[in-house]
Parts: sequence; C-alpha cells; structure tokens
Amino acid sequence: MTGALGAIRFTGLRRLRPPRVELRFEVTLRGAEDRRRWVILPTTLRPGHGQPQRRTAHTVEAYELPGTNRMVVCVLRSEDGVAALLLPAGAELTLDGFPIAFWGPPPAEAEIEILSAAALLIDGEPLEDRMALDLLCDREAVADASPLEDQRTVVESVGGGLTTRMTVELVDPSTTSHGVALGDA
Amino acid sequence: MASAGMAAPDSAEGHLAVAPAPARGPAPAVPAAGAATPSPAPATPLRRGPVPAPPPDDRLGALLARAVDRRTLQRKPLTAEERQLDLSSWRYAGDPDLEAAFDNNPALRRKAKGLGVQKLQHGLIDAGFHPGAASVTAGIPDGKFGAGTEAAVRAFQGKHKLYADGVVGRKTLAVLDALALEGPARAPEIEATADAIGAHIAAGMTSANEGATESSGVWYDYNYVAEHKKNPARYRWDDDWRAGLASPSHFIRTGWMDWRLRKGTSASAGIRAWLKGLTIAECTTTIVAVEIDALRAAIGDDAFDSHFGSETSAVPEKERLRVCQRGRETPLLGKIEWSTVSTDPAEAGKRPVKVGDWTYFYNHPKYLLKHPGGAWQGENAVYLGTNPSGQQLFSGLGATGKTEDALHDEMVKAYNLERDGADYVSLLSTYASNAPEVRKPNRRFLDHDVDYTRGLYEKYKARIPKQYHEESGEYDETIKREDIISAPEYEIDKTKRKGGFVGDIKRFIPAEVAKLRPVP
Repeated sequence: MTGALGAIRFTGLRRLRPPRVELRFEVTLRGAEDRRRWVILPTTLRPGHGQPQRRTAHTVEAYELPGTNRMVVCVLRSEDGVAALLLPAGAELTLDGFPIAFWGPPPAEAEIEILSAAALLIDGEPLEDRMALDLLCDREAVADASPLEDQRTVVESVGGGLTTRMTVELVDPSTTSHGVALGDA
Repeated sequence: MASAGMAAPDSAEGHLAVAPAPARGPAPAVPAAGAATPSPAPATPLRRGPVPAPPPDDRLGALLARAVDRRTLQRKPLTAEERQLDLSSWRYAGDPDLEAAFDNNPALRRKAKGLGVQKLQHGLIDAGFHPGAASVTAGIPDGKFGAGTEAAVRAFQGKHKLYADGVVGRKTLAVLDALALEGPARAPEIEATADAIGAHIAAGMTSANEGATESSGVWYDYNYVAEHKKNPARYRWDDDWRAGLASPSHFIRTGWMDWRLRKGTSASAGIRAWLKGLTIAECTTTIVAVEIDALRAAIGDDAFDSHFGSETSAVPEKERLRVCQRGRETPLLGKIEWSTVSTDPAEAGKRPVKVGDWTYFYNHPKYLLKHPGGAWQGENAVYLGTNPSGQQLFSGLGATGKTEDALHDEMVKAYNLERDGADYVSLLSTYASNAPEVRKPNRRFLDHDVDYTRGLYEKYKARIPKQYHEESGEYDETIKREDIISAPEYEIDKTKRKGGFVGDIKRFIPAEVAKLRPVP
C-alpha cells in the first residue's frame, strides 16, 4: 500500500512466545520536500486502535541499522511502543524486515498508521537533545530492520525502570493510514 | 549399474570418497640418508592392479568387468601397506569385525551380526539412514545385518557416491569413520569455569530461538499447530505432541514435557538431538536442556555419556539423562546452585546476575486467574550480559535479548489479552475433567476453539472455583506495567506469587562440574 509518507508491504512473520507473532514488512518512507521531519511507525499492531498523538514511554533506545548509508531508528518503549526516524528533507528510506508485534492469530488485512511530526518531545525536550547520538538519517538509505526486535544491538538509551514514565508529544502531527494485506499470515 | 560420478564397489580399487582415516599402526621408519625411501602408507587413493575399462557402449563388458573386479577383490586381501590403515574414530576403532571389514577381509554383508554390526547401525542412524523399526528395539539396534540394514547401507552409499551394493567394506567404512571423526567432539569443549559455562548457556539460549523449520528447532505447540493449519502437508501434527516431542530415536516421553533417554543411547547425542529438534516443548524445559548441554560441553561427550547414558556401556535407568521441568530430577542435580539474592524489585537493569544465570520474572500475581492456560505467568530467562548501551538483557524461549523493562511490557500485553480457548480448556481439564466433552474431547476442544470451549465453561461453571469466574471481580481485566510489581503477593494452587524479578538465581557450581571431567 502506497501513501503520502511511503509504502508498506507484508513480507512474512516469525512466531515468538505464543500468542505473540512478529509481522515483518518492507517499509518505504519519504520525507517532506523542504524540511526535516519525524516519521513514527507502530511496533505493536492493535486492530481498531490508531496511534495516539500523546503517549508515554519508559525508555527510548537508538539503533543504527546495518545497510546502505546511515539509518538510525529510535524505539520509544511502552506497552504500545513506536519507532521513530528523523528524516532529512527529500529523504527516501527503505526498511527491510521491519518488525511489528501482533498478539494472536493475525488478521488477513491490517490498517497501519504512520505519523509524521515536526518535532518529537520527550518530557518537553526535543528527542535529539536527549540522546548522545546524531539521530538524523541519510537522505537515501536502505537498511535491515530486523535487529529492532533484539535489544542486543541498542547503541544508546535514555530512561528505563519499571516505574518510569516519560511523556511523549508530537508537534504538528499528521497521519496516513495504510491498509496492508497480510496474505496467509 | 553404477551411475556417472559414483565410485566403484567398496571392495574394488579406486579413489576413496573421502580421505581415509589416519594410520594408527607403527610409523614408517625414517630412511637413512641416501637410502631408498620406503613407500608410505597410502594417504589418498588405494590402488590395485589396473582393470581395463570397457568401451563406454559395451554394457555387457562393463558388467562382466565389474563382476570380475568384485570377485577378485573379495578374494584378494589388501596389501600389507594398505592394512596399516586402521579405523580411528571412537565408534569403530578396534572392533575386530569392523577392522576386518575395513581390510575387506571380509566385508560386512547381509546375515552378519554382532557388536560391529550394531555400531554400524548406530552410525547409519546418526547419518540419517535408519535401518527400520524391525531392526531397532527401544532405541537399540539389534546388531543383525538384515534387509533393513542392507537398505540403509545402500541408501548411505548412494548418498556418498559409493557403489550402492549394500556391502560394507573399506570405502563405506572409511566414510562412516570420517563422519564419526568429524562428529561432535568427545573431549570437553569448554573449561569448567563459571565464565565459560555461562557463555555457553547464553549462546545456547540464543541458538534455541533461531532457525526453526518444519523439521528442526524448538517450538511451542501453539506455534507449530498454527503452521500446521496453514500447511498441513509440510507441518505434520499429532495431538499427542501437545505433551511434548523430542527425538523419538533418543527419548521416550514419560509425562508432560518429560523425556528419558532410551537404553543403549548416547546421552550427548540425545541432548544435541533435543536442541536440534524437531522438538515441541516450552520455556522451562528448553532452559533445562540448554543447561544440560552446557554440562555436556564442560565435561565432554565421553564423560557425559559414561554418566548419563551410552551406546556401549550400561548406565542405570535412574542415572540416565532426563529432560523435564524439574531441574533437580535431571543431570543438573548437584551441579547447579539455587541461590536467592535480595534485590529491590523495582530496580530493573541492576540485577546482581552473571552471564548465563537462569532467572525468573513473575507476571502480575493474578495472571493465572485470568489466563489459567496462558504461557505468560512469568518468564524463565537466561541473562545474556549488557548491550553497548549498558542495558541488562535476558532471553527465554521466544524472546531473545530483552531488557527487564521490555519483558514487563510483554507480560502486561499478555495479561490484557482476552481469555482464549487454552484458558477455558485448562479450567475444564482441571475442574470438570469427568465431563463427557472433556473425557472424550472433539476436534473443537482439541483445537482450543474459543467459542466452543467458552460454552463448555459456562455449562460447567459451577464446578470451577469462583475466583476464576469472569464476573468475580477477583482479578482486574486489564493492568498497567506498574501493577506487576505493586500488586501484593497472591497465592494460587499453593504457590505464592509476587510480580517482577524473583531473586532466585540458578548458576552452575564449577567445582562440581569439574569432578565429572575426564582426568588427563
């Protein structure tokens, strides 16, 4: 399915501890033409639940994905986490094997929302200022996103703790919705 | 007729399919300077007098030449130099019948019997060529070279581009011997230190989460059934496997997720087979198997077999390898310390653990009230160490490289799911086991059909304790992650549970492991 922010295609699944499955997608993201912008993808799929524009996270983790050119993905962890990428103007990125968790037998089709925002604030502060790592992706990049399922490859993190709650706020958000066939998943 | 690329018969001359085993006889004397160099023991092709090759189109000529060749060779023993080569693997070396067969004097064939044939059958089984059920009783080959063994030999020879005549002589044994040599190391693979054993456990747990196929890997039954429903021809399923499946050649399943090694079977091969799969199990037995495999690696296959089950020596049944949820009833007894550490339940990320430690995290104490058939009452997890960001990471079956925070996220999601068929089946099996629909379950019950089993739950609800009733108010329908550690302790089925990290760490005692290592 292709939309203003990009395209998503289901490529397979991996069964984890039941009833959890990891759906894998090829995701193509396009940045705004004239400015950098955050793009936010869900990491858990809940049919009938869109992505909230205000949420909390207990940890923010950064991954540098292997592939062509630089791609940094920040995972904002909570019961319903998201992955966020900071795209430069005119960017086009492709993530192979992007994992989205689903709990139970997957439906034949899923609605996946992609958000974009001018800024992503953690406890009122831009996320870029919270991380000791340059978060901006290259303008063109292709990366293997499967390491996102495994925290062994986290290179930088903030927060953490069983009672931690950081507020997450999106500035100037917009949403596109993608209907994606999950085949015989 | 031999096909192109296939080697000549076992007893014929020609190039060996693999390099022959190294010579075990006395080393050739070093020649004096200027003396004629004696011929060394042949290291590659064994050569005999040339046999004229028939014209390619002379099929009768070829058949006759082969027949003459075979007769000649079977009558003609190898030269003294050729006989210097002996079998050298742990499995075959020194067996008189096999050493004789290795010299074609005589080759082993149909109607032979004895320990040598039994070793041959073991080798064929390990290579994936089973001699058939009639040749194996309770996992032990019968030592009789019958039709099944002959067929297995032919298949093995075909696979290895040997002449598939079903006769075992020099070349077939050379391949089998080489396979045994290439096989698992018999000596300890790692040091009996806390670090080495811990690293092996961490790697083993990671490996258990990778590469599962329809015929390999460790699976939850739920997941394998899901694949079976999509592709029943490829993922064959038997409802009996819900209680567990692990290499029937090595194990007898004696209870739910409880396996005992067959008599006359190698324990080291058994635990490898368990982890290689196809295995249907769950998280606890998988960690037990990974821990047992670390013990095997630390003491070596030979010592492991001598203690926990061997092809060639008798090990009492009560001492043989067992894989089950109760670690103290397995070879881990006395090798692992169950130590309790005091730790702040909320202080995730700073647990006093070492790589390879076996830990446990409880879900919300009332998880089992909502999900009596669920797989998420807690997380058995092995500590992997930290990532570049310094986060502590754990792995359980189906969850690789997770922080404690992430494990809690998953446990919350699991708690907040609606009840499913497995939950109703569990309640019915426990409290309404004499109901006719439970005693003689139909396909919908076996498939955990949620509508059907929920209907039965309603029908037999009076037999089920009230705390499990959905309207009882005894448990919350949904929780937040903070609730896991803030909820008070709660007792279900005589077990008290408190959410979060359980300070009960299981860790090997290197000194106890070292006692089992072979003495140099």
